[in-house]
Amino acid sequence: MLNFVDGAPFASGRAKYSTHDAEASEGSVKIFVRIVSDALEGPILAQLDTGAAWSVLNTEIARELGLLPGGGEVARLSTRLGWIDGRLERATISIVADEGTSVDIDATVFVSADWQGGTFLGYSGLLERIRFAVDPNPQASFFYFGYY
Amino acid sequence: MIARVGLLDQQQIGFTAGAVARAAAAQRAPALSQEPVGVLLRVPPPTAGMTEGLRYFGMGIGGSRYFETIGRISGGPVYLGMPAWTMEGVHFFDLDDQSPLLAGGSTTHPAAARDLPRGVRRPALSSTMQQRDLVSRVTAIRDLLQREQVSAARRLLELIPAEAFEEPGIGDLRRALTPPTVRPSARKDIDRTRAYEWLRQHAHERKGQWVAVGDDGLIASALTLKDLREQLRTLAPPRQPLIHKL
Repeated sequence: MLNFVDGAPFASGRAKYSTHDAEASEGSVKIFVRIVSDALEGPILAQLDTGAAWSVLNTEIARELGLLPGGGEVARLSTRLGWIDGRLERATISIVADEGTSVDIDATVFVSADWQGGTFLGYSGLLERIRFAVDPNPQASFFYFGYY
Repeated sequence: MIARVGLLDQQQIGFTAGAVARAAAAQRAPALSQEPVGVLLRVPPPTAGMTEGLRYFGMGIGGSRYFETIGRISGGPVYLGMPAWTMEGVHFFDLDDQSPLLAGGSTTHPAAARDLPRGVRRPALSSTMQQRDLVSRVTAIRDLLQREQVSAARRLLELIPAEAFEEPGIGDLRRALTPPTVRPSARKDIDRTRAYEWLRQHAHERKGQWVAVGDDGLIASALTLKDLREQLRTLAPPRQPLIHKL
């Protein structure tokens, strides 16, 4: 996979990502990576958003995972849809690899019954312990990831 | 070493700022190659709940500059912290209102050496004070969380004694602020290129719906995730589909 100059591994796995965003009106390209929870019947797509303070789960997904209503720390998140009140909950989320090794992450995620948007992978509580790199080659758009 | 600190703005905010800054500088003395040539500037309280606040400017080894924030959070102990972007440590000073460090001294004369050990000791407060201190810190942590300063919130949380973790509310904070743990997983997914292609070509046809997409295209769609899952349980596709809300 990807290594540091000294040969130590940087990334342990890679997966093709999607750039399709049905909600995009501004034409910008987003990066959607596949994540898995044991409670669901298949992988779901989550948008990579390093600028987000926390990862956010789509409300229906959060409910199906049993995270709504939860008892976690009350939090308020500033989003493109305005301020959203919710809670910070712990959940196990996996980033799955097409090649190499997948990772399970015990993460902190923001969930809210009021959130009308999608699922995002933010920095704090999740990406902060993931090494990642993006190969934007349109013939094979790979998201490389590893951990430390 | 006791540092000499000049004071540009001599407005006092509830305590003698120069003395506190000297204590702060003395606390950092091992890191300083020369007497700090810092100044004190009155600034708006950098932390909500901080009723008094000053920013301290000093000179470190090799002339490197640093800033520290000194304040008091809602009547709690005196707070000294790095700014959020270089949050290297936070110290609380057990200085009551009668302390010579707070009440006396000129702004340019070094504090008496005998005052410093008392001034920089760790809090040893009464249970009432400890409770008030705890509430102040939790308030400050929540404020930092609200402002998305997660690293700073974690550092403040580290200062809360372990025996307080059972207090209502602190457990939730601790759980939320615990850094993620990552471990390798034996899971594997299949190549989803064809599912991505289906999304690219057909997503607009089912906007607002949940879809389950396999290698051969759409497997199921529904208005809610719950309904989609019920369909999938009935259909039982041989391979797990990709699930997405369009």
